[in-house]
Amino acid sequence: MNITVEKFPDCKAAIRVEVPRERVESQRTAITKFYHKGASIPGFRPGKAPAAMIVRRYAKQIEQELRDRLTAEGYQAGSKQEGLEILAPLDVKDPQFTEEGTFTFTVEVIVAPTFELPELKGIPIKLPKLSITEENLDQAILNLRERQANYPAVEGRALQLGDVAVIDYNAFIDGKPVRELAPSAPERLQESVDYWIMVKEPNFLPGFSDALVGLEAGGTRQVVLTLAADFPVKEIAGMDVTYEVTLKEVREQELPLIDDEFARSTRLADEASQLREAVRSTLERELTQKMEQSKREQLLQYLNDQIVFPVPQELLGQATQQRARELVQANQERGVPEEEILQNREQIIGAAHHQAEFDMKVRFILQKIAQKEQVAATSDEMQRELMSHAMRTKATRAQIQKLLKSQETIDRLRENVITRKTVELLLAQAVIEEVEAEAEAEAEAPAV
Amino acid sequence: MQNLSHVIKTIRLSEKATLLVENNNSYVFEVHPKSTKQEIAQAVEAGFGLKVVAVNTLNYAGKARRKRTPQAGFTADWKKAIVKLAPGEKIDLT
Repeated sequence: MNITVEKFPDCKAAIRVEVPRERVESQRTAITKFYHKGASIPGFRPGKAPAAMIVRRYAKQIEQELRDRLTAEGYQAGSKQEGLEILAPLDVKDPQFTEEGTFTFTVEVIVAPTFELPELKGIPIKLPKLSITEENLDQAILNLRERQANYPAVEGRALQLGDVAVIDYNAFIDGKPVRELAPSAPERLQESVDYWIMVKEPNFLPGFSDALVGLEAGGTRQVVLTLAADFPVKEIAGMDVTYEVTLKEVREQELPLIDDEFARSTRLADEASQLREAVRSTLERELTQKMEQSKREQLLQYLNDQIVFPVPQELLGQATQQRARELVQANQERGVPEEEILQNREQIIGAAHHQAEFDMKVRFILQKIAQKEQVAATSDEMQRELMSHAMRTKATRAQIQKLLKSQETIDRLRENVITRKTVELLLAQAVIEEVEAEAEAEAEAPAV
Repeated sequence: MQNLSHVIKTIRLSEKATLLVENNNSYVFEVHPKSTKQEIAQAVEAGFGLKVVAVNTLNYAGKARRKRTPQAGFTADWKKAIVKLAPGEKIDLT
């Protein structure tokens, strides 16, 4: 087979293949034989019709089949012979039989980008010096208590900071309802009934809680607030908004006592005396995970910044679409209204494009590093990956068996293992520097 | 039968007819039931421009056919002609 390859700069290549006459004829004969065996023609038993009749009757089909077979064969031979790393075929151009009896065609393909790897040892990674302080623990335990707090109604006193207010409110700008001026504003910004709000700045809107202090149950108050210049709803940013608030109830936060029962309800410890240590170990575990995540993110960002190459635009387009779909789905699951998603269409597509490009680039880089460092997946690792995949997706035994038969799934699992091992290898060789934390670690309630 | 253009109805392509072509240089036609051997020979010679050596004919009675009714119908009677051509003469059947 006569094969010539022309490479283009944007991750594309054209493979021109000329299949020799002998091969064309042998394939034509094989296809004709195949049709001869199965052809059902009135007056003839299958396989008994004259060959010439078969050739004439099925001329179009035989020709198409011959083209398809020769193209596939030539494409495979071309990709192997030239050692191209083909990601996907794009288009087959000018397939034709020549007067000499040969078959020629040109196939355009997307090839993996080529780039040089930088020095991989000693990638700088900065980690903030973070530890779990007593204040973090206090805050985490307080968060746990707040989750189980009761809010009994109190009577006979005015609203004060730290209370929960049950309010009805309507908002106006220059006498008009807010959503008349800004249809994209969330409904909650304009009005609500029996709305529970913890009277604590800067809940709801900055200044709102402070303005409610002193109000008694059943009382009403007009609260005028100036929205920030960078308020997310652009139409009304910087404007004065008037809230007409009716306080229906004043409720007090009643935190549960830290006793054995509370400890058990958190599912972290059986006794109150063990709770603090349990929360500490949970926070420490979360902190470790956060550090690991940060290391990984910095490493991938470093690789992305250091190595510059164009990614195949066709594949990037597909990946962007896929990512945009995921983002839209995630937004829908979070309850974001359809109109808001449509309004932010450009932003979503932009974010999806950015993420898809980053992921694709990093994937190419890690694949190349894995090749260079000869990172491979052992059968044990593959089994573990399969099991964790099955657990993540809650697959049944039958589904696992089906997975094992799919080469695509196996390849994906193998790539996951290799990627993870490559990242671990790079992290093991990285230079990790501890720096002073810019801000105190947020003490969040441990996941229960 | 006077009009030769009505004599030959179609050429029959079947395994048996193909064998006759290969082994005997004979071609099988479906012809008008009232046509004679002479007319068939003339029709083939005029229509295809070939030299006919021999003509054999066979008459087939139509078959009984029923279609959701007790009264039987029949397919048409027909005549088959096996026409042997002179050596070297042939008809392209593909």
